[in-house]
Amino acid sequence: MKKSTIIGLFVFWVTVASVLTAGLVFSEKKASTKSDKTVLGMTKKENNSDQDIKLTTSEVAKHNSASDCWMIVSGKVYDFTSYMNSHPGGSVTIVPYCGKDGTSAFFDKPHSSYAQTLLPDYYIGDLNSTIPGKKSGQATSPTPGTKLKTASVPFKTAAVPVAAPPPAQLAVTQAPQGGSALTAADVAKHSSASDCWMIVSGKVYNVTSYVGSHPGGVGTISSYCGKDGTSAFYGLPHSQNAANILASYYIGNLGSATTQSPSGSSTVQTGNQVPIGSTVVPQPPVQGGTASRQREDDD
Amino acid sequence: METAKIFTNIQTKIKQNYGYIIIGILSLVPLIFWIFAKPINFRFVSSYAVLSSFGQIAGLIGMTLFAINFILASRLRFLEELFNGMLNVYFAHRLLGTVSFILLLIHPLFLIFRLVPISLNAAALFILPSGANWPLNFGIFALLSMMFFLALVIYNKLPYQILKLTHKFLGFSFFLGALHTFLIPSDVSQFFPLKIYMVILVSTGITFYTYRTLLGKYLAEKTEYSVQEIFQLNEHTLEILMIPVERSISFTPGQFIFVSFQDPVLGTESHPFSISSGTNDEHLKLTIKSLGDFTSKLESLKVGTVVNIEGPYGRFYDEVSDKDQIWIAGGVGVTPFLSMAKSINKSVNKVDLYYISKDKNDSVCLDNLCEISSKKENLRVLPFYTKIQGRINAQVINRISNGLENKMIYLCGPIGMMQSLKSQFLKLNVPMQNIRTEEFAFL
Repeated sequence: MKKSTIIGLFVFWVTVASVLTAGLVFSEKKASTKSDKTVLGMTKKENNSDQDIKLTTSEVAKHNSASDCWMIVSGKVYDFTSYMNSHPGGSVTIVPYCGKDGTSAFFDKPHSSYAQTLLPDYYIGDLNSTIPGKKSGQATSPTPGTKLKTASVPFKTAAVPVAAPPPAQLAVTQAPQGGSALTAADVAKHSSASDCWMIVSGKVYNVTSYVGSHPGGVGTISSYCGKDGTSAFYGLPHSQNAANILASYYIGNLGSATTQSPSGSSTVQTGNQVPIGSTVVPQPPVQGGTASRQREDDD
Repeated sequence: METAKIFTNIQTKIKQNYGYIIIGILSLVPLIFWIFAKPINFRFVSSYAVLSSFGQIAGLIGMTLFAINFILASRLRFLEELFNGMLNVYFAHRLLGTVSFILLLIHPLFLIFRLVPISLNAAALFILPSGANWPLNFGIFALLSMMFFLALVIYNKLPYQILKLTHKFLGFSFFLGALHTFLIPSDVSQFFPLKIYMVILVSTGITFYTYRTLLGKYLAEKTEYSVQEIFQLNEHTLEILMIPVERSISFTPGQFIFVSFQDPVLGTESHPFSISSGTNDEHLKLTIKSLGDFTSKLESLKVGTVVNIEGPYGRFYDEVSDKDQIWIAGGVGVTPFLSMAKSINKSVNKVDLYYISKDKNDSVCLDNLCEISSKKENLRVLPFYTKIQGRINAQVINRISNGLENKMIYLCGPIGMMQSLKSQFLKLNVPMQNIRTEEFAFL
């Protein structure tokens, strides 16, 4: 027994020592090459972000795989990428409708009213409307979390109390207002674990000092550095505490009315949707079924 | 007929291993909770998730066994029932400690490995304590302190007293580990049934630790004796006679007690010794050979010293059997047999006691045994001197005792001797349940 303990200790320390030396001694070299890459990546993104995307059927059709899945339901476009693995019927049943109009499938198949309340979380814009092209189809939808009281508007009938609140209802404690206006390009400059900004629900957070403490590991959080992590934050199991922690890293809002082009084309004009960068209405902390009732009252 | 035999065999196996079966179930429960905490396909979607899962499982079961080990260390009597003797409880404690420690070492390794493909730097940072993440730091410090305290045990060069003290500090590591378990955002903190289960286990562990290690001095059931006479049998062996201060303990032959001499020079740590007096003697007698640093210090023991006795424990010779018996004593392993010899009555069949020692001078209790033997017709004492006759083997015993069939064999002596003889007996088709062993030099 003593032998196995000694072997265990030996293996442990050899592994730890080699990871430490590899990770810390060689990290500087890596960091320099990384930053080169991010400069390239940033310019690319900047180009992208200048172009607005028109949500045509052909645009939706581009996002037709499980790893990039847009869908039309009742004339509205949704990005279901982050929802694929959570679908009770399995991702297999959704995939065939990625990039297509899934309206009939959604209403023909037995979907609960709860399923309907989930839809707004993944809403991108109405068909044939224009949205700012700050991203192309990665697992991030631009505006979940900003749905707030208006979110249930597309499905007014939806507010049936349910057992558990949808995951996207974590209330991020209201971050201080009046932060400086930041663009997606600004955020994209900070895309490494050692310098990590992130967009969540239209707000920008500098989470650099938190990356190492992330309970889910550095790797999971740092892959969203410089990007919009909204769907990742709400799509994965995060506690209310996580939301509170996030708020403490708030540095500013994404874009703002003053810096955005006044044409209005930069925001989704559905009338219901809160534009990115506008002030987000404070959301009350959500406790169980009261969430949906709250919405009912608001209506 | 054959199947009935196999069935009873299995039955006795289960009976003797109740303790291990219960431990197995207790450590499977968190695994089952873990399986239901999240959809299982989430656990294995990527190499990252798979490694996280294995890391979690190792941590969960490691903590479970760690908690159970405090129960095993409590010396409570129900453990004797479950493990068939306190000595087996001790072995289980050592085994569980090892398995738990190795699982807890594996736990962070998996979690480190999952980060390596993503970023070596991230993996390295994960190992180091960070200012903000206290739940993680608790885990790191728990493991480091555990390694330190156990390394001292493995090093094994420190005095027994200090070793025992450092072993007690493992409770501190456990406490840190518990903080880590409950505070780190994971299934334990998020899945309620698992959380409750772990809370119960951990608080049970802490309760037993408090009962035994922190308050054992006051809470453990102890009987006071005082040293009445000390005999020096030869240069290495002492015989200590003790009389009860108020009441005496009742024991069966072959049992051992934990003894703590209330002597500032010796220290009041308790040590296990076999009882060598008979069950009806007015004295409680210990026969002690100086093997370690404590036993060699015993020479300074004075008459009149108060002795706290805990026990008796052990099930070496617990069943009344009408079978012929073979007793094999190696060196000071003769002590339980001294007690057993005195308690033999006429109902017991023939007993052959092989008393193995280096030479005549080394066989300190031979006179005593011969004296007992002269009064008991059914006891035959067979001295065996290894300097003259070489190592004893099963063949020799088989020949001298006229076969081994349907005989109970009791072994007590150095562990090497016992293991070797036991395997030899098994080769001679002696059934496992007919061989009983007691290791006397356990720490």
